[in-house]
Amino acid sequence: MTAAGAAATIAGPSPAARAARSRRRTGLALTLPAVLVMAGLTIVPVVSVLQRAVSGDGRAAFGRLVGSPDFVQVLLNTAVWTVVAVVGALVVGHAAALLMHSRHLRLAGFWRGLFMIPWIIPNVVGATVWKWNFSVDYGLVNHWLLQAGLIAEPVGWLSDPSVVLIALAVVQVWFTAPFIMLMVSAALTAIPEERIEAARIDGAGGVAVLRHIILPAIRTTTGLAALLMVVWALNSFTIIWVATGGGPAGASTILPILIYQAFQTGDAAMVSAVALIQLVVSMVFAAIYVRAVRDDMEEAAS
Amino acid sequence: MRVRGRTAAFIGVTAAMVIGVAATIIYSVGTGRDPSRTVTWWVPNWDTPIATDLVAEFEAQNPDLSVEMVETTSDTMANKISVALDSGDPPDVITELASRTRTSIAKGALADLSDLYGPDMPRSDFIPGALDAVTNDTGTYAVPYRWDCIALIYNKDLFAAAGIAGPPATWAELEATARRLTSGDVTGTAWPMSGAAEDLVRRYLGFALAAGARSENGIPLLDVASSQAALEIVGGSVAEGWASRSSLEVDNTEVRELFINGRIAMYLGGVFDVEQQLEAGMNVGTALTPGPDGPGVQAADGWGYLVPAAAKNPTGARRLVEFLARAENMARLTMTYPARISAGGDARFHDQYREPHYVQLAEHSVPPPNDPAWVGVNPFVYSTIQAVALGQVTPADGARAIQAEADRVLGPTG
Amino acid sequence: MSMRRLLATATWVGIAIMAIWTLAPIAVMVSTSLKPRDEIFAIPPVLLPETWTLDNYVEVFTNSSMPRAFLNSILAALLVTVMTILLCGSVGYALARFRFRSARPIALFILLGQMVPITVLLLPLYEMIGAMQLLDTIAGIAIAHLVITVPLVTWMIRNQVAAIPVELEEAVLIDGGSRFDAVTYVTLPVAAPGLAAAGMYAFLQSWHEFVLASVLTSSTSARTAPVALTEFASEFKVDWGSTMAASVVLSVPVVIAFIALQKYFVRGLASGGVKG
Repeated sequence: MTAAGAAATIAGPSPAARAARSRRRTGLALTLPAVLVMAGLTIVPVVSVLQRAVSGDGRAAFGRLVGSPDFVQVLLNTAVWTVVAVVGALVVGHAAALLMHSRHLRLAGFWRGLFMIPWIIPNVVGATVWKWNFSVDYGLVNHWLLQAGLIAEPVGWLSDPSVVLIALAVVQVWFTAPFIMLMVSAALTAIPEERIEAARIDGAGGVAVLRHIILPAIRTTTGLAALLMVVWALNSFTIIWVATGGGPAGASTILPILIYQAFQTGDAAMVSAVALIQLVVSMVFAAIYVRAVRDDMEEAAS
Repeated sequence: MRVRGRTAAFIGVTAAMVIGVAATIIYSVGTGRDPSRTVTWWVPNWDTPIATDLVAEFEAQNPDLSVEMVETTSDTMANKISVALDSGDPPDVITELASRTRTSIAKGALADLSDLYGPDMPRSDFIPGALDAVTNDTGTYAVPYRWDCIALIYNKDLFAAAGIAGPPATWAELEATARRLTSGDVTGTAWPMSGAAEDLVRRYLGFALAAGARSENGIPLLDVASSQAALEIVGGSVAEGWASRSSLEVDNTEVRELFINGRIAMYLGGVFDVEQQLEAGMNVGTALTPGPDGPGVQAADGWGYLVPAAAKNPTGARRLVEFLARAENMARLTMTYPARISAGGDARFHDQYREPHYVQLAEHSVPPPNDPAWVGVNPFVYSTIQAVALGQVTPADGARAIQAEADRVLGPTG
Repeated sequence: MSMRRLLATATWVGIAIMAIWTLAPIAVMVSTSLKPRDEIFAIPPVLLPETWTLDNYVEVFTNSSMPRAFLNSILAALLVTVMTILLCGSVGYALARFRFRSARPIALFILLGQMVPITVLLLPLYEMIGAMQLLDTIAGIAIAHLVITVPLVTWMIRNQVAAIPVELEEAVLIDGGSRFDAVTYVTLPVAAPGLAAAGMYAFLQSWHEFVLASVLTSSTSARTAPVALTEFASEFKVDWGSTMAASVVLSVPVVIAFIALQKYFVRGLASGGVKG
């Protein structure tokens, strides 16, 4: 297609070139409303973040941030939190979507609706329920594990620095996996049944069908879901804020918590500094994704 | 022909949508109300019932003004107020927490209300510290109407069962009593280590101030010795076991629930908690916060009326604040104590449960350290206290780390 | 046959595990909503209430602005969904079907919106919505919420359209239909599962959003449900029973609506609707 476009510009106003140009124009026109809306909503904030981040205050804030004794721990926490939350949500979400697609299942729609509930209830409420569940005193998790004899004494899910981040990432998985299930379910419907049947007739087992037909067919969706999970993990503070506030002793402090703390204490320069870091990290992932999708498209086109 | 039908419907929906949104915007831009006759007041939802009565009286006395009340809630007001003040499109009067006010003062977002103080409302009529919290070199930027602090609340039954006669009055007694009460499921005390940072930091600061630190213009002047003494109590008690290990996962209200469940024998809490414990049928007592050797200090806090610098109806706003700040109105609109001493005579502020809190407030309290730079240090102090509680660092090392961070952010004077 | 049975068993075991994992915390939410105040923080904890009570539900319906807030939330979320689908349908289709040089920068630019932390957006959006005189209106919230729906929905729709063979559309063109007809009669039905997923996503993003909604609204006439939930918390105490009851009340209609929408997920390429 790119080649065709280039050829058209060289060849001048032939009918084919005119058609190509009119197609380009239509394409651009169709993108215009959304581009204008997004530009209107985001350009001002992004420019002001950039401005403030490169100003004297912003550079000083960067200095304070990088110089603070806990900065490395915050970055590590953010990495662990993001990896566990994203991988966990992808695995659970895909597994659930494939289950929903099983021909042995009845009332798939009902189950899918039911499994969406974690994503429908208000975030603060879900986070609070988990906070209670994990509590040493009021928590059912400890209570049941104790009764089952699996642990000898209550685990400080939220107060033991070595487990708190994982416990919170599990909660994030609980919240976000339903969304992946939804997206993957939609993508699965687009796979023609005949292709799976054909593979089966060729003697492919369940795992082979999954690996060679189903997963490749939904890979743009998987990629998009992964991207979104990363962005969410890098932006979500509700769960951590409600459950631990970033503690104990900074064990669950991640970048978005720093932003929110700075926002609450009115430290605008620090907000911009951390926001810029987050923006850059997210954009790297977004660029990787867009690039992967383009390669994918060109493969398909050739 | 079918083809056209669906396509047309599609275009129709799009067009309706675009026209609808455009029309809404144009309509909204075209309408507005007369700012000189209206005063907009942002009021927390727990104040609404009484505030509604007060507003009715105010409107009866000032027929040229109408007050539009907008409810704020505990979890949303901080963001809302800060964004509205920053945007330059704020309401006329805001009820806001004194400890958050100095940040807005520093931004120049508030109007100086110094002229409201005078013979009808002398500065000396306010509980010591209340005005300091909202005053700087250039003026006083709020009228506090409610002022309170925390003090000791203890479970008389658990004390009696352990054979302890009365509440601890000194730090040594505090620790000894707590250790004696700690057995089985019961622990001596607990601290809110997992809620808002300022709740925990305030408790630490109370002890540091009692040990010799001072506070000026919203900035605490710490030293390592007093800071260490405070950390030994607030953080070290958890590490040593005379404060509950659950401290690390509870906030203010959950500390109260631990107390109601009989899991802790005493704690530092607000006078409002006592009402709930009495409702739950508990046998509780209140007392002054223990200090090194006598009553300790607490950082008080409270609520005040602000008038934004960009208020559309500043004169109307001042008239409303002046009305709300009358002693009798203050006494009505407070859940704890009124900020004016002349409003605090009512017996309901001085029953056996409330009296110790009032004495703490009137005689042994300091204004909240609310300088924006210090507020920025709060998360670090919070985290350090938790580290001491976990036993990761000693109180001495923690105190040095806090001192270093305070020096770095506030300059060597901090 | 026995292989079939094994697979069937495995499926149902999987469903059971998923059900426990998803629904156990929900059970805590529901049971808390049925507990009297003094049982909520009982030690040791119990799942089921000792005394069952509907007081919390009575409180929600008679003494709170929750019914109105529910309505506001639904209206705002529907408005967001329709606007999002229209905007993103257009741009998503263009990105999937037309090749032009600026496509990739545009696609990346739109994604950018999803990356900006909400705390940074707060003040500019407040000023913008204020300039439109739409503060404290449902339309104002809906416009602000586009920033959290448009980026991803654009890509969801683009991917879904790209997965549909372009030959299907060309068949309509050859039959003498317009491109628009091809889209409404071929692409849209085939893309229905993707559009339904995108719509649900847009709806729930708006439904959940708290920070923007809490700052942009001030009266009950526009306050959305997550913001109204904070009314149950005062300075010193949180009425968790009523908060949980309100959450149950809020969630049930949405869950039912979503179950009803599930029928769009079974229509695939192979199952007809596409006759060229």
